[in-house]
Amino acid sequence: MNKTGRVVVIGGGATGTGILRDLAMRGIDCVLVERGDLATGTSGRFHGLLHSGARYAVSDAHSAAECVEENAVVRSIAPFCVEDTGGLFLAVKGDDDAFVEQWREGCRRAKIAAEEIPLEELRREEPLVTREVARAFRVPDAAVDGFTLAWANAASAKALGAQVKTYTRAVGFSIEENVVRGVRLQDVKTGAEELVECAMVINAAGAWAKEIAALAAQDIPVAPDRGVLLVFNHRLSSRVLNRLRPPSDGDIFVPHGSVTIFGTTSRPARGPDDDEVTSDEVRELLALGGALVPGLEAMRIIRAFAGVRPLFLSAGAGEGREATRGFQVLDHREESGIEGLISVVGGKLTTYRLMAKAAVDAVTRRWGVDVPCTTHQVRMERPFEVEGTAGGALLCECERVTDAFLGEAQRCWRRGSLGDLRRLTRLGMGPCQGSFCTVRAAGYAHESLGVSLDETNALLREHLEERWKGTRPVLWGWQARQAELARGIGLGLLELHRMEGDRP
Amino acid sequence: MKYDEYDVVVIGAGLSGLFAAHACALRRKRAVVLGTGLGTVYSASGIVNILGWYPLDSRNAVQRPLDALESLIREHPGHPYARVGRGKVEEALSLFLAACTEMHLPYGGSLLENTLLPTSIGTLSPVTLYPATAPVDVHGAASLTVVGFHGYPDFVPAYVAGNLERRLGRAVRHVRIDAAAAGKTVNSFDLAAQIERGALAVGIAGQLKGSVEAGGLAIFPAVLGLLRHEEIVRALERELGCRVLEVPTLPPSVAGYRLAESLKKRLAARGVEVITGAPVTSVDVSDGACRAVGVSGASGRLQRYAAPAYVLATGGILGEGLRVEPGGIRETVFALPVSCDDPVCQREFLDLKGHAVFRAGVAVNDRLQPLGGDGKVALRNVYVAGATLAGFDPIAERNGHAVGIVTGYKAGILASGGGD
Repeated sequence: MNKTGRVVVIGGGATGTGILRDLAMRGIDCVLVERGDLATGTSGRFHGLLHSGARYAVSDAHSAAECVEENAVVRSIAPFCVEDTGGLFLAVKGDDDAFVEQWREGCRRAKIAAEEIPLEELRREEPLVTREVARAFRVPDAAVDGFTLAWANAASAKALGAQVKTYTRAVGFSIEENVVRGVRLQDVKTGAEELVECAMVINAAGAWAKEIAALAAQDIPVAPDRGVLLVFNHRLSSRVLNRLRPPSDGDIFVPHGSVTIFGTTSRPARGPDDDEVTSDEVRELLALGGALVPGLEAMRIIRAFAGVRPLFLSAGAGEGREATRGFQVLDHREESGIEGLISVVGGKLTTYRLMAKAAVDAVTRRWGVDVPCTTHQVRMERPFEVEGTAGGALLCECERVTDAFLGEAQRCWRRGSLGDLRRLTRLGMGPCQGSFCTVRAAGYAHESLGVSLDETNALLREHLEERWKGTRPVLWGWQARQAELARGIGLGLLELHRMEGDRP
Repeated sequence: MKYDEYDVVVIGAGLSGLFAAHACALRRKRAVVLGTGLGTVYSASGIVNILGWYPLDSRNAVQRPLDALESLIREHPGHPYARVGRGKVEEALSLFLAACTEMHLPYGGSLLENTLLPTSIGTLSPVTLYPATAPVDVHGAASLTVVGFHGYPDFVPAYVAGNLERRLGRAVRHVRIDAAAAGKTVNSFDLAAQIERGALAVGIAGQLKGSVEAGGLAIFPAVLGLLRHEEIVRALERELGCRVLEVPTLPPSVAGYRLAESLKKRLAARGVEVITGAPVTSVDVSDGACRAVGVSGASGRLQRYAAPAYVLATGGILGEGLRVEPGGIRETVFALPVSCDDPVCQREFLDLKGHAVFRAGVAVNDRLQPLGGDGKVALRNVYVAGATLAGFDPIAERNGHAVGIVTGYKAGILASGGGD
């Protein structure tokens, strides 16, 4: 039977926005709902690594092969999201030689270009890397910006008529005779509820997929797994650094512009919202990383954060690092007879487009409609243009954001809160962590962008709390001084801690 | 190696170090001040608060700071104010005010009663002493106008006025006027330098005609000139027929610059050398006393400074007198013990209770002598002042300047051989 209808996509990360774009390009009426801002789930809390696939060459050959292809596709459709750093796999003296050969063989089979380089070349190009490296290989890893990627997919979908509703939470389904007919939505800011009718729901909620599926009394085997990451204040290496051994903690460094993201760990999370980081975990991680970059403990850290991986527990597979990093599309009609609901689980950002394709293919198959995926063939645009905005007053010196730039971002993304605009323009995300620029941006937003006094004041306080969350677990050295400066401005100069209900 | 004979070596060129040296100079003692950098006072507001809120998590602003001080001294014997005592607090602050008047840095406000002043986002804050040609009454002014500058994003008049209106319950006007270079972004320092040079195309008073009423109050960011600012503000008040209030800004702080530069000049006039770029990297300690300190010069040579007494005024975490490390907190010159009540910080940054780590510091007795782990005096000829001291949080309490001045004063007197 030929049938199409509206599709509701739940989840605004890379997967959800990728699905929305694919649906829109295939001419399907679609709307995306996300309880927060785009890419504030796992897509905003990961390494930022566009995998060459080499990491999975031995442990997960299927994932490795997927990464090889998709790495090239993402570079071609979203070049502005990718920094072509290249990568290195480094075996340190004492690491298992036999594993190195297994790894090389795995790369060959997966067609990953892994080229051995002489150690003198390594030393010349990466002066901070340990001298204890035994063998070094170049691979085509790259750094990817998850925020911009999600925004670009969403903008591309919107241009084709799709709707994007951020700050909108899915709170239930309307199910009649085992068929999903609609989704009950709640506006997070106002509390207002509405029912959106649809012919299909795609659950792309990542680490929250289980919670969403539960709204339809469905159980999916997703285990949230937490990983801690550290952002260093400078570029420790030119390329992505990977430890050449079975995937373990603290074995990847990814340079992004002027910072480095280092991690990670793998511990069962208490739930998808478990983003707690303790000082102890940080110290353990630093000790592990010191094996590749000596003296890591004394280097400047901007902040620490945790992301939750949505690990898919396929039957018989292991947990934690043993679980597959592949993905699965679950059509609930086959799982338990309920129609109109598809969940896509597991996966990694590098293969987001493939996951999206598989999910949308499942929809078109169900509907007996033959429209192929073309998301790999069409290049995306930057979410908004930055030309002509350099001449305004400079609000953020670290990230070079002018008032005109902020204004342009708001013009293109009207429903965005000031916090969203900050994420979109990167204001306040540099080394000073917004101690200065958030105050300037708040003033500008109130004066020129029509943001209310209350929202402006709330933003300043919220910003400080957000930065503190990342600083608290690493409160020593330079970070402690930065925190004092933030306190000096926020509390000492502006008395932001007294703003709520103050009656001096 | 070079030996210099001084009566007192002051380690640290922040406000507490400079004021300690001032106390030494008043007693005709030869003092030298060794500073690693310029000092955190260049970033600070110039506002001197005894206490704005007491207890710290109270929601009621302190109206009579000396009364609150009495309560604090009774209830917190470990607080630096308790170590100094009310008498010395009043003495030190009066001396500070006298010095400021002589340095053409007039201050408004009174030790007897706090004033509510606007911040650079329009919140109201209780302050004790603030830079002004005369006391300012925000509530009583006939009209209020907030003035900002085009190309200066740190102070946004519409935002300041919005918050002020809500808190004062009355209308507040706002206006932006032109600075010297159209289309360029400037910081507080650039702007202050332009204004001092008279580089504005149309003067400030000229641009404000019609926006400001006689008898009113014009609220500016603190950018009205550098060292000639008293002259500039008085001229403006005359031309506009209204009072002018400067509000402290984001760093670089011109108010801080004025205070630091003026104090240094004054010290130089009294024969006190303030040496910048002179980090103390080694100390010579024996028999419970400091014999000399060593400074690594740019040439790599070690320069030795020796004196019978020393003032340790190296600042807190920001000034790097205290360095937080994963295992604990270190005092960076003498490695004196530093204890912290509670290594775990509150979850909320803005928690009114504050965080114990920012209250950590060197414990002292009532003579400001540092105590060792055993509670006994560790160095009998060293006197500790300012943010290096334990038992207070200069930022959450907003009394960094006041504590720096009063403890610097007492430390300077004691180091000069004076009694309590």
